[in-house]
Amino acid sequence: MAVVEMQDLTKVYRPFLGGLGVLAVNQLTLDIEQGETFGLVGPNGSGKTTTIKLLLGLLYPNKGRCRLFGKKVFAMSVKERIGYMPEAPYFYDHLTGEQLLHYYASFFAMSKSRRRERVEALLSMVGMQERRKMLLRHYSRGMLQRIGLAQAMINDPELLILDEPTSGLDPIGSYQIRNLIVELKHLNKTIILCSHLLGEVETLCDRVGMLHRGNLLACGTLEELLPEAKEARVSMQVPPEAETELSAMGLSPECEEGLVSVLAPVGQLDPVLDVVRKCGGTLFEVRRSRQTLEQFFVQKVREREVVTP
Amino acid sequence: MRSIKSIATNMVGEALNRLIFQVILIFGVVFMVAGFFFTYLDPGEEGKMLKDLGLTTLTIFGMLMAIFMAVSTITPEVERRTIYCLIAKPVKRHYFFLGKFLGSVVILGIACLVMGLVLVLALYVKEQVWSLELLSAVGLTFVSLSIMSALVMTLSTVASPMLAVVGGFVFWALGYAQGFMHQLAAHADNPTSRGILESLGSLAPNLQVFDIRAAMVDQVYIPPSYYSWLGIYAVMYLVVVLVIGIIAFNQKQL
Repeated sequence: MAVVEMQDLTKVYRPFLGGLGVLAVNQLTLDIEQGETFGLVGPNGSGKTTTIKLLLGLLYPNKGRCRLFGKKVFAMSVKERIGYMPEAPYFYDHLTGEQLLHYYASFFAMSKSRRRERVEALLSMVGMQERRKMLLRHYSRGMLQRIGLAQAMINDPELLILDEPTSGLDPIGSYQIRNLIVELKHLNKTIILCSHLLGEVETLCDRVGMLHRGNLLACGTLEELLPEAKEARVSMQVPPEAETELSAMGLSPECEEGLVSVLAPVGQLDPVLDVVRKCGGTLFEVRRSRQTLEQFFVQKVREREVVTP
Repeated sequence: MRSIKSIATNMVGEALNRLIFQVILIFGVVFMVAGFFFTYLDPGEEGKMLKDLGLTTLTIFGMLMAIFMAVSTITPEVERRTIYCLIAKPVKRHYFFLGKFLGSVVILGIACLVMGLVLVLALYVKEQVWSLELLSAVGLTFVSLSIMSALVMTLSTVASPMLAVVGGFVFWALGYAQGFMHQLAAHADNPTSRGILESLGSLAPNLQVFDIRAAMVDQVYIPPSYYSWLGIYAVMYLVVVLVIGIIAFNQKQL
């Protein structure tokens, strides 16, 4: 069953005094299945955050519908099952990290002992046990990000919506948050990861939806979107006569600092390796490359802009 | 109800930590105590002066607090995006609105209680008499502040904070000028002007009726029925304003 269903979802921001509105999301149709980690990617202003706000019931769509767990997004039974971490979270700075988690836990039907257990577990999970008594106004960006993730998990949600979870973090902080997301993935949580860091999405997500100016440019698994290349690059150390032999096979060997590399069709890999063996060379690497998500995204955006300038 | 209580409690904690609340409260208490040092009047007049000044200070500082507090209930939550995490939890929008209102009422209650007790204490020191009847005036001021708080909160759901503050002051002025507005309307030749004046007079809460300073100073007896009618009026006005506020907030695009 699809956990998230969006059908023809459209949102236009209209100015208060009339006039032309801004089309933030345009006829978005998308389903996200149970246990999937779905990446919603796109540049700033592409409609990612608007889509999330529509899913959370913070905004009302102009057209179309969205449902979570088969119910309207405003249903309290739905909200019991979701967790949301906003981009660059800001929380009540008169509270400590621990108090904040207790505050958010108070909105769920949990006994006091269960609440305490949950807060303890989450503080430990995000590595904030030592800073639990510190006021949030003294937290660094990374600490706020961690406590933001903890509050999103307070009800042990089935669906987690994470908006730019690593933005503004140092490499160690980003790495830790990514590891936490991987752990959640293993717990079979459905995760919507909204980010403009395409490398991160590529690493973490099973399926990706690309938004550009409110339109869904592409949607699919990484294998579907980024098919593996039909060629592989072979790097080797071989004598000059081997280069001649490779050229004779119709390939274009390139030599740099004593290392020869050649781009060969996958079907021609065995003959290339035979040449290396025959001339007593050393094989360093065979890499079958594929387009990155970033390259794919740029290509899609360019195609779109050519069609609709 | 659990959500309303949590939101209200959090708001009280936040407000008590906020500098503007502390400054208004401290200045209010200082102004009240300042009346204590007027010694050039006749002995009987000093007490009256202290009562009048104290209740006026309570009204003015309380009203400033009510307006600024109400404006800072919803807009900052949206601007700081703290509301996003809340609405993503099982919190209905009207619970949020009512929680914030309840929080404001508690804060205003604390402020009125502190300033009221300071006034009673100052009068005791001055006249060696516990003027506990003043607490009824303090109570009515608290009710009028709660009405203003609901009104400004409702305004802030549809207008910018600045506009809501201006609107709050306009309603405050209109609330104390009800008699004047109706007199003006009665003497207006133009039916449109009359209509506008009467509408404005009817829309604004009648704050004059909650102002029993003169009666307190002159020690005029106020029958309990007066308080009852005021209670009914306040509840009705609050319900109407809060329902409008909730409808507006439910429609708001966050």
